[in-house]
Amino acid sequence: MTKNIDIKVEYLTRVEGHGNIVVNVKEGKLELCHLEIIESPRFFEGILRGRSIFEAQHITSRICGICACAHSLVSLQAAEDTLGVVPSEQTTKLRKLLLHMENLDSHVLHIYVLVAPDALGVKSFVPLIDTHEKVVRRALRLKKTYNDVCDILVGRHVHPISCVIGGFTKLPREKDLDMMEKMLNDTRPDIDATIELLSAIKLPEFERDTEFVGLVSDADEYPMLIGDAGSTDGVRKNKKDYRAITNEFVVPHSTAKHSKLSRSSYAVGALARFNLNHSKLTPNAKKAAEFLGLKPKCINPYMNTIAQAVETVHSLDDSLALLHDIRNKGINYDEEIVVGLNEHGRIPVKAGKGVGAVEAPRGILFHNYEIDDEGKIVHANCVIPTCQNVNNIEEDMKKLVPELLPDKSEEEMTLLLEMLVRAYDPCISCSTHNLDVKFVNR
Amino acid sequence: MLSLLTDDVIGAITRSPSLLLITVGNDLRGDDGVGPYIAENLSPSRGDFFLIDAGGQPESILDSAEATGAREVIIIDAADFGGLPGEARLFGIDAIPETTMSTHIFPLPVIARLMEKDMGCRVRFLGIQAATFAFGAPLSEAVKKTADELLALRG
Repeated sequence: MTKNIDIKVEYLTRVEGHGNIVVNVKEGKLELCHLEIIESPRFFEGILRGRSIFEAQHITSRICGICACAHSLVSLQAAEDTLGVVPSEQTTKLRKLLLHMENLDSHVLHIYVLVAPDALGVKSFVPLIDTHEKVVRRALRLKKTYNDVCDILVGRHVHPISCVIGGFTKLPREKDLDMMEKMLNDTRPDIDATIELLSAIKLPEFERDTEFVGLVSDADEYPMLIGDAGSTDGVRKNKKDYRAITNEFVVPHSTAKHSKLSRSSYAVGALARFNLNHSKLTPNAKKAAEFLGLKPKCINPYMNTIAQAVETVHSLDDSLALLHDIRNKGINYDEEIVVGLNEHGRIPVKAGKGVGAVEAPRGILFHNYEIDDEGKIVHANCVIPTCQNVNNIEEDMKKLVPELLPDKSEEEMTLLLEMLVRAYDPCISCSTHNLDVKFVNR
Repeated sequence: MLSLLTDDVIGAITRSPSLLLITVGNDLRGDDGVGPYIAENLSPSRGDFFLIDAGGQPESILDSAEATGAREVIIIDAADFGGLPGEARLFGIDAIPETTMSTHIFPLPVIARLMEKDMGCRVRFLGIQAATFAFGAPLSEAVKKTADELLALRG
């Protein structure tokens, strides 16, 4: 084969942030295959230095507009680990509910606005108003509901206010529990319709075996907020050893660090969670997986969107179960915390270190803080899911491009590469570090 | 500094019998805060128009917009159309790019199209040419002047 390809996608749409895909094939040989992350670093770790650890969740939630709750929750976990605070059972349940709302909100947005246009053969979400108005309205209804429940729980649609170290400054009242339960129950038909919609979508058939990383636990629940960091290659480490999981390294073409574990790269996110913990999904979610043809271990990265759909069923089921449980036990309002930065010394402060690990919609997310005796942060490290995925996406591209070379046009290859990157639902702004496709020769 | 408000902009803001003004934007990003600035300083006290500040979540306003029963909608936002800083122009929905600055929210044209369908009325964008979108920057002098002139029209 003597084909030459020069593909350069300068502005890849329907991903968050900016990055380039550069593919260079000369006389049929793949010479360059990069996912260049070109966004400027955002220095959140630097911003945290010198600030009170009691401020950290409010600052770090601003890393992202869609996984703000995951950043808040992992920040609180890391801070509580640092301070030796153990959250109550009630607090943990409400936090799990909050994380489910974000998972639902984020997955719905990705499925409908970012992936559906490819599957339905249009360039963006907007033309779907004319051809699939019901689908557009369903997406809006779902997103609005999950945002509104988030607002009830933590005082805002994004960037939570009321979840703080040790608990919540405002706990939901009886009427709030009623309202949330009704709102969530009302989304069931739309979630069912989402599964139906995806069952009619044909995703590209491509496979590459890789290592999948996410939270693992001995408990019965599908771990989103608890557990160790583990992999499908059998690795399992306490979250405090997260650096031995992420093994970050720098590459010249990206402002995002790359990661690897047992192999040359690893993947995080909904597909990783499914591959690691599918047996712990709710029965409805398992049925949805079976209906959609998703089976472990799935090594087709395009199926990450399907795994997200399965997780929407799980998150809805588990949210309703959590609400039911919270209602049955009754809310203990004595746990409400007075707003502030621990001015009254309710929580003892001493120098220490701590780590948090939470499953954000896009994958496992780590925060690590070190504080001095006054509770000021002297060191911080945040490892974002998209950073961990970038290296794996590049490895996928390196296998995918040669497979496409014989039959696909440059235009078709570009679309499939863009769809591949979108399947990971990357948040390039968060990663500080990614998309734009450049092909050079085949 | 001369006014950059054209007659069609002034007419759209003052003559509509039942007008809903929707402001969007982020007041942490320089002139992107012009929408929130107008919302903060505009009071629909005479009852002859409606105001909704959609902030950074325009997808959440469909129901409340429809509830106003307004017969015309103008969405006010900072824009970059190559005009003079502070220049205000009216655009139809089709003129607004489908991509947004963030994929974290629904595209604004989608919200506007659905609003037209639900409310049975025209929805237009009033774009105010920004001078800066820098983080932490205040409104530029030119954009603030235009905003204040718009406020005076409905003051």
